[in-house]
Amino acid sequence: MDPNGLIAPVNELGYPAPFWFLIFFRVLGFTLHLLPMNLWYAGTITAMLLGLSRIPEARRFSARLMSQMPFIIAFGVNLGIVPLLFLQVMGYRVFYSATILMAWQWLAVIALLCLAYYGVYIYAVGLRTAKQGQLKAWQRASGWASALLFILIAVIFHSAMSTMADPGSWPAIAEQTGRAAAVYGTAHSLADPHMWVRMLFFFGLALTTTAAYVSFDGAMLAGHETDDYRKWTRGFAPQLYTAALVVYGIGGLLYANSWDAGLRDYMTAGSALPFAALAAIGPAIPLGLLWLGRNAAKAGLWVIIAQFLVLGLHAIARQLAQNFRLAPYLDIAADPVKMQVGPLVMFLVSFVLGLGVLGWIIAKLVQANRKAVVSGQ
Amino acid sequence: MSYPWWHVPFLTAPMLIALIATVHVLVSHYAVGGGLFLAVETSHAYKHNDEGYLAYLKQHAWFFVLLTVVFGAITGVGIWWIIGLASPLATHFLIQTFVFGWATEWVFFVIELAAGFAFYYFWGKLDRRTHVAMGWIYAAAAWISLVLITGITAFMLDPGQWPETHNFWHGFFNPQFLPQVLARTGAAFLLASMYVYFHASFKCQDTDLLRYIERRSSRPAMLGSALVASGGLWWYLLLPASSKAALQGAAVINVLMVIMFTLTIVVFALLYIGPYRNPGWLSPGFAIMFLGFGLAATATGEYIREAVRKPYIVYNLVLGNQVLAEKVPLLRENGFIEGTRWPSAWLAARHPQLVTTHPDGSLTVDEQGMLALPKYDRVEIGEVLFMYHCNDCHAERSGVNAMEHLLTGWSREMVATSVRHPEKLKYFMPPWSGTDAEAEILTDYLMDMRPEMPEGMFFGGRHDSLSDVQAMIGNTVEEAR
Ligand code: HEC
Ligand code: HEM
Repeated sequence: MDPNGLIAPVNELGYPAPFWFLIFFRVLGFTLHLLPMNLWYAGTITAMLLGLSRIPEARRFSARLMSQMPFIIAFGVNLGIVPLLFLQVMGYRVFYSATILMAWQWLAVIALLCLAYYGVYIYAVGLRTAKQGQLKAWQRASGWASALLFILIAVIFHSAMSTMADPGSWPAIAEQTGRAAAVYGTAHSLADPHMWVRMLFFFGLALTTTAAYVSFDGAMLAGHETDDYRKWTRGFAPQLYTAALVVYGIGGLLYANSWDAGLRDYMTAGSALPFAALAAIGPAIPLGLLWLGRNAAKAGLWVIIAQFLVLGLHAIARQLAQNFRLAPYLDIAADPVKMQVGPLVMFLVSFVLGLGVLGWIIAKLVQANRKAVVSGQ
Repeated sequence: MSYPWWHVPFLTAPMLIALIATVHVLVSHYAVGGGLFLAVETSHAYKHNDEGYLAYLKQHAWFFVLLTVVFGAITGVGIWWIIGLASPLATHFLIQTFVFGWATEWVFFVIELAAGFAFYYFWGKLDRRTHVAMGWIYAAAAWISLVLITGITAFMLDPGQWPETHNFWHGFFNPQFLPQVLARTGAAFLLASMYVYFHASFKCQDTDLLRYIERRSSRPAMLGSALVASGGLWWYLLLPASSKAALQGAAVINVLMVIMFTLTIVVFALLYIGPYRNPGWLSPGFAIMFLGFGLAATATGEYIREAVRKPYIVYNLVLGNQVLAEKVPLLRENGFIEGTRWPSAWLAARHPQLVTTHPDGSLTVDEQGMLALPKYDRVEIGEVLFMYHCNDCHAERSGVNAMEHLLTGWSREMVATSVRHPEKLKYFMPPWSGTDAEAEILTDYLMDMRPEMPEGMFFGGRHDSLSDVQAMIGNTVEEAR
């Protein structure tokens, strides 16, 4: 089959907003999704490993992160909705087909996520109710199971995005996992080395975010903790970040090595070079802040902001690479625009009002926390 | 259709939508009604300084968070996942049309989450007024998200003026919007009380308190069942004629509809006689039965809502087999395969001699050439047509609405006529959207799977013509007279 014949045609309904608006929200939304997602992807397993440590502060961090995890997941999944919505709007010509090819796996995300999420709750409740920090075996097992499930879900996401960006692979997939032009939805990318090296690269990134979060937690959220704990975070975060960068670097090199000549030219010599370069060297900023701020109590705030920037750069470079790989098959900027002004205004207005309400809620919670500290509760 | 068809043996892919959606609505309505329950009751308990009730409410809030924030939210995402897989054309159509409705809904989800967490985790840390305010913010955001999604699901049953104007608001405020908001709000009230009964009957040890909860929650439940019944009736009155006919015509739906109304009335009566007038009925058994009633009524309602749309997924716009209604004439003129992405690419690869690709990427299929293929190849192409034209609603050999069993003993002529006029055979089937040659090819496939009359029947065996029958029975028309 000719992959060009498999790309869905342009839909006359058109884009409901200009292309730049859609891509902006998609990349912004994805960056916002990345931060919490990195924490459950690499953070859960890190926390479980640190839970085995003999250093009390490391175990403390493990317990803290796992107790925060239910909220991180709730908001992180929620933030995934935004990029998915805009991905479907502007990537429909390839998104649906790619996920249908691996439908069972893609659908499994839902079941696996439910399990992983409840597993985290079991662990977090265990932490809250355990006597002397001793969790029951099954509560511990739930934590480990969740950590592994999150990694498994990530494999599925990587597979889906890899398949989506590579329509050239579809005819063979359809041939092997389909019948009579229909597909069974049983495709997977487990045998695809590109997927694995991209995953390694991405896992390294997720680990850097986890390291940045260690420092953020110590600096901003650990008011009730001991000085030793806060000091430990300042010492451990740069170490973890450095180790994470090794993974990120190796993964990145292997990944870049898997590019075809066209993509390599585009990313390393073409117009994408500035963005690719920024994404590659971006992590130097949080890393520098971490090492320099080892004695600064509030450095963690700047580290997480810098990390957010790194994630944004990563999201932009990734978007460019994806668009480039799809370019031979379709031009995602070519759809007609049929502005939906009223609904767009409704969204923007509710977005701003929503931020206001959120701000109010957060202010009230901070206030309540302060009161609790003052009254020694 | 522009996307590959996901072939799910036995079940058919759209049945997975029904499965996940049913599971989800049972929790999502509680996510709305339960929020209202917590806001109202916490405020009430504060006013009366009722520490016992407050302690119970806090316990309930935990149950609420665990069920709605995890299971409710993830299965909601699950619906989105599965419609994209099993009904991609309609999903894309809806998303392109209502993307900002969904984006707005997302804003309210975020508020729900934040307020919900604040309400539970800061219990006792927030001053009472702020605490109750969090409850109300949650409840309001949850109800608004119900309203937003209802605009879109109601659109699927009746898009109102949208087809002429393509205007978001015309689509959103469609004729079915208010009735469905009313019915869903009712379901939210009703289900919330059922969940409260369920949870309290197991968790509340204090008998007096249990009676108190029983009585208080009976009121929103009765209000809820009244809203469900009146919203349902209103919904019915405004149904498009075809849906009314589907409702009356299909035995299953008909019966379900009656069951649903009866259940609602029974629930109302039970609530009135029991918990409202004579608190003391509430026990785990009673609560489970009640929750079962509530869930059954809601699930049935959802099933009916889905079923009456046939042959459409989006009324008058997208047909049940992922064909845009406006494209039917074109497909009949030029051919189904020619107008359908994956099948045409498949045909071009399998039988390149039959397909001419033009410089602009469009294709022409040589239909006479297709008919001239050996039987094996025709049957295979017929299967392609079946997958993309019929498999949305029919499994092949066994399973949901399985084709094979429907065709038992049919003659070729009957099958051919059904293929050409499915909408006349059962008006809730989409019309034939291909050429005559393609109809022939699909008929080849169906005849290949069609079973003979079962053995041992009077008319068993291969006896189609009158003379066959006469030969078998052993007498003629005259003798029979
Ligand atoms: C939108 C859903 C839908 C689609 C698409 C659909 N059908 Fe049906 N079809 C039904 C339903 C529902 C029935 C009723 C089954 C029953 O009575 O048990 C039915 C019944 C039938 C019957 C039996 C009719 C009878 O009188 O017993 C035949 C034959 C049939 N369909 C053929 C087809 C063919 C061929 C296609 C594809 C060209 C098709 N259908 C596509 C929904 C559909
Ligand atoms: C169910 C809720 C979730 C939604 C809606 C969601 C949404 C998204 C979207 C839209 C993207 C692609 C962004 C783009 O290309 O524009 C993405 C990427 C990704 N998501 Fe999530 N996500 C969810 C949950 C998860 C979970 C539980 C994990 C587990 C680790 C995860 C891991 C990833 C990964 C690893 C990527 C990058 C894939 C790649 O580029 O190879 N997501 N997510």
